[in-house]
Amino acid sequence: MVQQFISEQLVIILNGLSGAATLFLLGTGMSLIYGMLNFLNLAHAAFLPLGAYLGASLIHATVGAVGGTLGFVGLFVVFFVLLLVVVPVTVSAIGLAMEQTAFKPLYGLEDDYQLLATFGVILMMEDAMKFIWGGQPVSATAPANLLGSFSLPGRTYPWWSVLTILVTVLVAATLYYFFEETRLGKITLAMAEDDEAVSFTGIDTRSIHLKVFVIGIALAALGGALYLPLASMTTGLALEFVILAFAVLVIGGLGSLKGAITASLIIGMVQAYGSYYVPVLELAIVFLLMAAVMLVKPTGLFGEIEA
Amino acid sequence: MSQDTTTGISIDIRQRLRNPGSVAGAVLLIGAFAFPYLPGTGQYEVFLLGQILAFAIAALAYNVLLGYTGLLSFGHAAFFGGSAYAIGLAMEYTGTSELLLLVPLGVLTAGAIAVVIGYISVRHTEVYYALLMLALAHLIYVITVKLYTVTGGTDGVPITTPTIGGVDYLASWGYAGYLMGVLYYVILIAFVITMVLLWAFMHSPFGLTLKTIRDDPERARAIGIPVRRYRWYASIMSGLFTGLGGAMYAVLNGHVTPGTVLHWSRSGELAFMTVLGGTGWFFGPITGAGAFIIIRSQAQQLTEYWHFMMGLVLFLVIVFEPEGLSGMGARIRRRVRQWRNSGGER
Repeated sequence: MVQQFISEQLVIILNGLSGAATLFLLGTGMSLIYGMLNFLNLAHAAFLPLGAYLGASLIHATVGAVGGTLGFVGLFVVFFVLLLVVVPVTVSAIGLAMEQTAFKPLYGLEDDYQLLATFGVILMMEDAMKFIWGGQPVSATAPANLLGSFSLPGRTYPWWSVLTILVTVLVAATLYYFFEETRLGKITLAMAEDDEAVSFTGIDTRSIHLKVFVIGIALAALGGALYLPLASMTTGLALEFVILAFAVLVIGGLGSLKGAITASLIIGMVQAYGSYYVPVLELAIVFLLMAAVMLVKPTGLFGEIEA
Repeated sequence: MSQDTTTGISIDIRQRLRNPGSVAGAVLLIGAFAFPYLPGTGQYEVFLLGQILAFAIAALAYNVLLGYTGLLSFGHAAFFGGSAYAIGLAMEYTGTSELLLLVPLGVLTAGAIAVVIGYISVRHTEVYYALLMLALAHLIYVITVKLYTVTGGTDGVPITTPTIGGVDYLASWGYAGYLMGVLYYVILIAFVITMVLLWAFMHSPFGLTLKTIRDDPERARAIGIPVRRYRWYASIMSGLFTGLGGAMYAVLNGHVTPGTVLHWSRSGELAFMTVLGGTGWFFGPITGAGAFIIIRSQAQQLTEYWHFMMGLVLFLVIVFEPEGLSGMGARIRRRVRQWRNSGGER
């Protein structure tokens, strides 16, 4: 009985953590880009489905081409390289191209207009994905099947979720190190404070802008690639991810890495416990939480920008 | 003070009567009343114009916030869909099918929602207002989807053809007669009422106060305007009329689902229509709603990827013509006048 309860709690916590992992990868980029570039990009969240779709195509192509001939380790390495390297790199290349064409003209606009224009961009991206991958749900469970699952008293749990959590922790730690310890990270933080002052020192702020932008998009794409093996992707999800990304942004505070981590953990856990004990309110709790945080502290838990 | 404003309005009206624009407006309005009887007009065209008018009501209401108060809302789907759902659920659970009861019910429900979420949201401005509206409105969407035993979940609720003043026009006139003979006029009258009332409100001291707040909230506060309270009033007024638009949409379409009326992307569409038409002009949103529905219906016939087209239009408008179609029209008119006077007023 007690054992049953413990394994139940463990599963909920793991679900919460893997949900938090996706949310963190989704929300951090959007938050950093707003914090550093003062650019509120609604379309950022659409890079997650893009990563997932691209990952699915690559996995299907690999399974079709090499199948079981590579053996367990070989195939796993291929999947890992595809999902963790090829997908983020390809998607951020697309993101970079979009930055040059679609997003650059929006930088000078007011937040309101940025929100609206990027709403237009997300509508375009949603349809472009529908055009390429069709309206049917897409899934690619091969990597998760390959890893299998481990057993707990009374249930089993997929290793892929654990892997997702580990990769995300690694990413979060790297980002933290980047901002706290490296020169480039410190310059980036300084730019968030005063862009112009930094550019007076002769630093090429535009190239740093681009780096932050590309890193943010790569993270969202990685989130999609890791999310896919245990779920399936449909085009409508792009619009749902936007609103979850906002929840991370708002609860954590715009432009704060610590905030994004904390907010993802809170939302992930609330969702995991919510869907286990009160399934009807699962998502509703997230938006109640978002509203509650905004009322008490409009800048979010770790937000520094004044409202 | 009200004395002055009344004269102000009557002077304004007299000036407008001399303006060729208002003559064109009057012709358009007469055309709208005659529309179902024009040669070549069928059910489809009347339905389309009905849609345009329903969305024009909502977009006019949306502009009370965006254009006049300077607040971007990403939560208007809550008012639009709240009203539509109130009507659908009332039909299902009380068996009422009287339009003259259902429409006020829808409008009041939207107003009640606006009282609550508006009160909470106006504590913040700019992005925070937009996001708070988004969160609260999406809460309503999520709850509606999840409570499928009550709301039908993603299947939505059917809205059967209502009686009007106790008369069942569908039974006696058939669908075409009902749509073209009664329902269209109900929507048109709702549209005219909205236009007249909002025009009067926006040209009253109330509207001027809102504009003052939009232009400079700090100064407005300094001269003693309770800014937050006026933003709340504006949200409620916007919510009520958006609800009227939602009610008209519901009875015209005969069925509502969370995805079509409550999802946050519908709020985005209302924002889109308003911006497309031009936020700085009172009549701009009407043009925007018309352009939106026409582009959408044409695009839908060409391709299933019409969202792409809408997104592109929205993007281009904001980048190249933030004042929307009205702004574009005004610039063209100005150019023409300049060319005619060869260097006239401005």
